[in-house]
Amino acid sequence: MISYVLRRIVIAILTTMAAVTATFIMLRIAPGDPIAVLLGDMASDAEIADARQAYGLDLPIWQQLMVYLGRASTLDFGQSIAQGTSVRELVLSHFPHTLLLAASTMLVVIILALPIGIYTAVRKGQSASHATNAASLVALSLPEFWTGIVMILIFSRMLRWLPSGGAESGWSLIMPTITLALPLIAVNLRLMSTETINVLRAPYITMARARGLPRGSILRRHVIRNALIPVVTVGGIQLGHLLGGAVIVETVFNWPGVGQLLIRSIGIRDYPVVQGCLILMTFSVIVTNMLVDFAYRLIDPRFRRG
Amino acid sequence: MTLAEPMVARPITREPAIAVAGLSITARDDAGSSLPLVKDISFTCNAGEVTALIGESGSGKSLTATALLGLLDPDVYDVRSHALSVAGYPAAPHDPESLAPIRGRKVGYIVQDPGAALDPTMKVGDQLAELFMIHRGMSHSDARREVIRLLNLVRIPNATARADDYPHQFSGGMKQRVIIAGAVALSPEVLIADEPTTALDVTVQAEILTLIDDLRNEYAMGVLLITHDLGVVYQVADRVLVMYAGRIVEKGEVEAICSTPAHPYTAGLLVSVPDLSRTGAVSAAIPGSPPRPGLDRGCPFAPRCFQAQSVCATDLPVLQQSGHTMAACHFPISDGVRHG
Repeated sequence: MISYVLRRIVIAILTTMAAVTATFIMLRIAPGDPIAVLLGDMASDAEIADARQAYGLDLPIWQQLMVYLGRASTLDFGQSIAQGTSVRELVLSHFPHTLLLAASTMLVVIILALPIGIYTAVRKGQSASHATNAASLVALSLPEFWTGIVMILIFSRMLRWLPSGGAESGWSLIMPTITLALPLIAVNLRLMSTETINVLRAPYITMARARGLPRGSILRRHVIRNALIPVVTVGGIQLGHLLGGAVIVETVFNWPGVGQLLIRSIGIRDYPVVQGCLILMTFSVIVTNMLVDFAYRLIDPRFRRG
Repeated sequence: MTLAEPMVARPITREPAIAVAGLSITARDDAGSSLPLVKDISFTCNAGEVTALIGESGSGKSLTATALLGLLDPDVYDVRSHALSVAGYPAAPHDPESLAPIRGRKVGYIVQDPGAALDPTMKVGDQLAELFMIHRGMSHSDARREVIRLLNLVRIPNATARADDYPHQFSGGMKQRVIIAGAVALSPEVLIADEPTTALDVTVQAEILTLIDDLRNEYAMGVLLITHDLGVVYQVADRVLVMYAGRIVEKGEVEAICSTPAHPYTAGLLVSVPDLSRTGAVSAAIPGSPPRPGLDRGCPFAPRCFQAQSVCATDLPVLQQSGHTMAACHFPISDGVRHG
């Protein structure tokens, strides 16, 4: 197990480096110039050349990459071009908000999707399960920006119950959480329901019934655990994406997370900050995937090797 | 042990292990059409005996077994009977769940494919311990002691350590032993074994059969053994039920069925068994294949029968005494004569 964990960590580091390289090159190839944005239209050629040199943007891309990777290995991701502050501190100051939003979203998803999914599977073919399926299809089809704006209109403008944006109080968390959670609840609910139905048909469930185990214990002890295996995989991927920052929802609700920082930095071509956000996103996905793999081995003994 | 009890006394003093009168099973599909698969069958299995239910694939053997446990999906199958009792417990007509109280306690069940019959995420010891904890209200440690005893009983080597292994760490034969252990855990009066050796290696088959037979002796269980393997029948059965196209076409004691079958189908099954003493001899197969379910006029075996006559195509024969067995045939084979 320890050698497995170590191997996974080494792979995670290599994957992160590959992702850093890829995003670094893509950013440099993309059109737009941070110096032009920074200095504005009135700057002279000499001023522009000086600024380029100062930020190391005059070197060939591969040299810039080497310098960047060298510094990144000491957790120095450079300075923001626009604000002059350390990228690391800038990104990390936004991360707690993203973390909070991701955690509250996943919590709501787990609390709602799993029990309802199991319920609809057990009540397969009954009106309650048809209604849930229809509702989840609607939730799945709603785009986040639309749900978000409609909720702001209803709960902030008309009813004045909740703040329309920002992160001043706990109330600000509610609408972004619901907006993010709705489609995820729909996906996970359906997955949980399908998997539960599949497991209920498995021969070992028939055997458990033949041994006279009551329905409730069969569900608790055998069905849910087996049905959870694919849900954990999908949930892990979703959590990874949430931790990378929910770009649209953070923008709609002016939530000061990594997603919002990313969008702002792309707008002003603040390369180091964009790069920093992307590294954090990549890293979140890689780390959650690794944790999912560990969780897998806990749930399903067939994944534990010798 | 229970062996001391005189064998002859059992059928008289005890309730039959299984008594079925007029059992019919019909499958419904989404379009609303229904397909009769098991048609009005009646039989009893005596306590302490092995009753073999034999027939080709699709003859309704496994459906019958599953119905006896009330495990058929009521959304798909319509199960009706005049009377059905298992281990003396009468089932409510049309309500499969009415058999739930006896499952595990009074009737044990073994399936054909042990591969998928155990929860892959739970230690086998815990899967067996559940039975004692739920049915007998035992503590985990007491249940575990019972589990080790059971695993030893079904001759799993190194039982204490194996109890902590997961199903994927067991071979097919060992898994089947675990399933048998689960089936006999609470000393049931009846054991229903649905092709228990079909998915196993030939060398393991004999061991599993011997194990089932020994357990039958030890617990004085009535066993309903579903099989298409006549070798298995010779080895362990006391009585035989021959099923064809959803009906019982012949029943009797194993010696009578095997030496003087009255139904041409039974006779055909017997001669189709490969005879290893005659090297090079090719066994005779019954020509044709079983009828598709649904068509129901005359004797279902008539199209494949070497001695069918015009009445066979129009009238359904009923089970009646014929020589040493009961056979549903208009022209039963007479005593001692074996046709091929």
